Amino acid sequence: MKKKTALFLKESEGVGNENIVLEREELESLPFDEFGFIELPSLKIRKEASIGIEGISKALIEAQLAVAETGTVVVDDSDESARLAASLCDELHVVVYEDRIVGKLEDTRKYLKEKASQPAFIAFITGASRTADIERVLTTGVHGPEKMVVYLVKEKRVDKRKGKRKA
Amino acid sequence: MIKEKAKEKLKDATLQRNLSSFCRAFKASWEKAYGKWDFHKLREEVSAVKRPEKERIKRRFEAFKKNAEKHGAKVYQAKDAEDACRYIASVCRKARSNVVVKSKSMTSEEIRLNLYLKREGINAVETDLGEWILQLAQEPPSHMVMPAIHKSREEVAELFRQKLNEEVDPNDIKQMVKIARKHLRKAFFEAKVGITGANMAVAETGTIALLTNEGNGRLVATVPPIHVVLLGYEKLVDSFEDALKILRVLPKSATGQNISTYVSWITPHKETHFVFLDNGRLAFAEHEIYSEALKCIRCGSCANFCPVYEKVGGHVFGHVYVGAVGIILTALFHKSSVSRELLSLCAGCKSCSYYCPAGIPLDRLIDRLSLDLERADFKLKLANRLLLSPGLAQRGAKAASKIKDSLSGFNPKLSHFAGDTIFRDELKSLKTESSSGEKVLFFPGCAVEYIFAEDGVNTIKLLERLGFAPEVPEKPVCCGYPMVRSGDASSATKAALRCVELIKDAEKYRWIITICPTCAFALRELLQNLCRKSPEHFKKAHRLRDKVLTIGQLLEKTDPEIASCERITYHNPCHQLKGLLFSPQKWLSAKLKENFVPLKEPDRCCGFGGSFSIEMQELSDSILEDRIASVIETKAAKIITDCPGCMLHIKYGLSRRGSRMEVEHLSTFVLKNLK
Repeated sequence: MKKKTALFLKESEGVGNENIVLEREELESLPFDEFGFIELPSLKIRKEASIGIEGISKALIEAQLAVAETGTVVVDDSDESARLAASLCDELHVVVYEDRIVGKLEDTRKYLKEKASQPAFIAFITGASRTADIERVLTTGVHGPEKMVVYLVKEKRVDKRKGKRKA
Repeated sequence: MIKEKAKEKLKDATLQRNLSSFCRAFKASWEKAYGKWDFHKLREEVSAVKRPEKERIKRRFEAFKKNAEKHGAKVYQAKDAEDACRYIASVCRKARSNVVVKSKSMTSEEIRLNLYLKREGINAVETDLGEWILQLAQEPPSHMVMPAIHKSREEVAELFRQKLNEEVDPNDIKQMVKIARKHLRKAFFEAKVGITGANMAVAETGTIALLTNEGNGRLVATVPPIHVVLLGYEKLVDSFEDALKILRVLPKSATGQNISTYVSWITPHKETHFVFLDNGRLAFAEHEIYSEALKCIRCGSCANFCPVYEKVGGHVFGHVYVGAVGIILTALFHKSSVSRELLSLCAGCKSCSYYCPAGIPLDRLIDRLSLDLERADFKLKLANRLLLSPGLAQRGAKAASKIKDSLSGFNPKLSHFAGDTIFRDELKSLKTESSSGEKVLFFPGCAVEYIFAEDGVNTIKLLERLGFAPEVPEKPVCCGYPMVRSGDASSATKAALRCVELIKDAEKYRWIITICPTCAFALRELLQNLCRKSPEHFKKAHRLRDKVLTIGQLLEKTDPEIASCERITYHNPCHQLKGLLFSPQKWLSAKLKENFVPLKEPDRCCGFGGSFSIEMQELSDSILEDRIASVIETKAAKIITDCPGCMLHIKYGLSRRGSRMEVEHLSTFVLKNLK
């Protein structure tokens, strides 16, 4: 395993995420039915949901980049329904492609600058929604996800320019 | 009075427990988070990025405005609190939003936004759990990052019962969080306006970065249709490159995390209003030293590392902004009179500067503010005058040594300020060897002159043994630091000029040696500036500056051999470790090998702080107790330190605990144990 990948997994685990390392083929056999919302451009899968005050139980999204130094996933959250889904779900599941892992925070600079040339909402997400505001006791799920799962895909991405497939 | 308020807090057992465990845990996670990183290098970068020059700020603002407006955002420049509040209220009214949601923003606390909106009939709901709890309790935050750190779980459970009619077991924090989630979720969907601050504002694209752990920031910016961003001009940076430098240190210094859970980079994509707050910022960007405070990234570490904050919390040691930077920002944005009171709580340990990830020399800003606001009262001024009149001070010291016992009955601490003899009397009977060695000047300073005469004499002997030819200034001379600390500008200048005059021909000495790191710090770092009104003195102060060493620094350079001795431990004086950025501990432990026992938390202050130890005695004693506990834990036969102030205080602390551990100055210890 690459050094960057190992560090990413270590840091991701350090913030309480569940990491699942997968082959590309295994990704396609994930139980997509369990998710209330899916946004996986690389697999051309999108499952819409209208997100209201109740939120949803599980959302599955894809990271554009990941940062090894901090165990962070970088998500293009510009689409509002995707952002609401990722913010108001009980469990957030994120697909990370190994070749998208960068070493350091500053390696996201180019991506950020490019995205920010247009109206955008880019999110660095490092674990579940958490608080330690009452007597410093760490508690997750304060506003958003109580749990975060990372699927690390050990393979190059497929071409995503073709049409979208509904799940 | 602030002293009374501090005393009250010392008696609050919940607060003491919460703050002490918080500060200790924070330090451990801070160490872990910075791990392999070079903290000093990182902070130099941040300091450069945040350089608060007026022209740069203006340029950044213009670029940000242009880019944000490109995407349809409104950019409003508010000159003060009232102006900012008025604008935000008008946005809320136009949106017919009677409920607005907020994510934690110190800037909104600064302008008392919630209160203003309430008067306008708008209910601003805080969505950060800690802030929300305080809103229910109708209290201000006591920490910039951990606003409800002073509240216990029992208090929160009781609050939920009273205000929300929710019964919850005080030990079920998970359930409390669930209750908050339920109530706040409703508010997110009711509000038509969401108000956030910004941790960074990137000029090159008109993007803000928002850091939260709870994810409330991104919800506030997402769920309501309108986003209002309230921020000070100092949050502007040129580029993502610069913003990422701040991102690397901010979570580490704020909570000891590598990164906050959510970092949102928002480029306007819906109705967005940016309210840039001046409130004094643009004026102080031009100030020669206070401008440094505009580098602050609001991490709160100057509070977390502050021994006084650890004892009294932010409700006493702060106004809106807390801790060391709070003293400064209170003067800049709020009231000098409040800031003046806060100054008296500072123990002068320099922990704030030492750990500031933006490289703000907070200790110097505090000293300068003390002088500018003329903090010193009649008593402090009198004490300073005494130190400027050696004849009088010597007579006073002699008198004090005679009434030592009765002083002890009055206040045991005071008796420790009395020595047995005075240095100049001892000096008369000292036979100096004529030496062909290099000339050095021994600068005794007030503590040696009037209290620790023997350590002064021992230092002269030690310097001779090390092969030097020591001389001393012909009269007792004060470095000026007590005057600076107490905020007595005219005495400080007098002391500095006198100091330069009495050191005379600095050129003829190889080194100027002190056994008091405070004197060394003052001579190196403050003297020149204090002499700025006299060009001649200014020049001389500059020449002598680089010759000043503490005895510890000299010992490390000369590296004499030490014979074996009993088990000893060592206490780092703050002004040496955090002021001069030096510690002889490494040298000492290498020489003493297995006989050296390190103290836990080697950078912890003993709580002395000169006049602070008397002015704020209860507080000072309480800080001391923590230090003494770890001193006793070492089971060493002797504790070495190299600051007379720390010695005095630790002696007092040990005697209070009935400990018979010896306290010795490094100089004396090395002299006795030279091989």
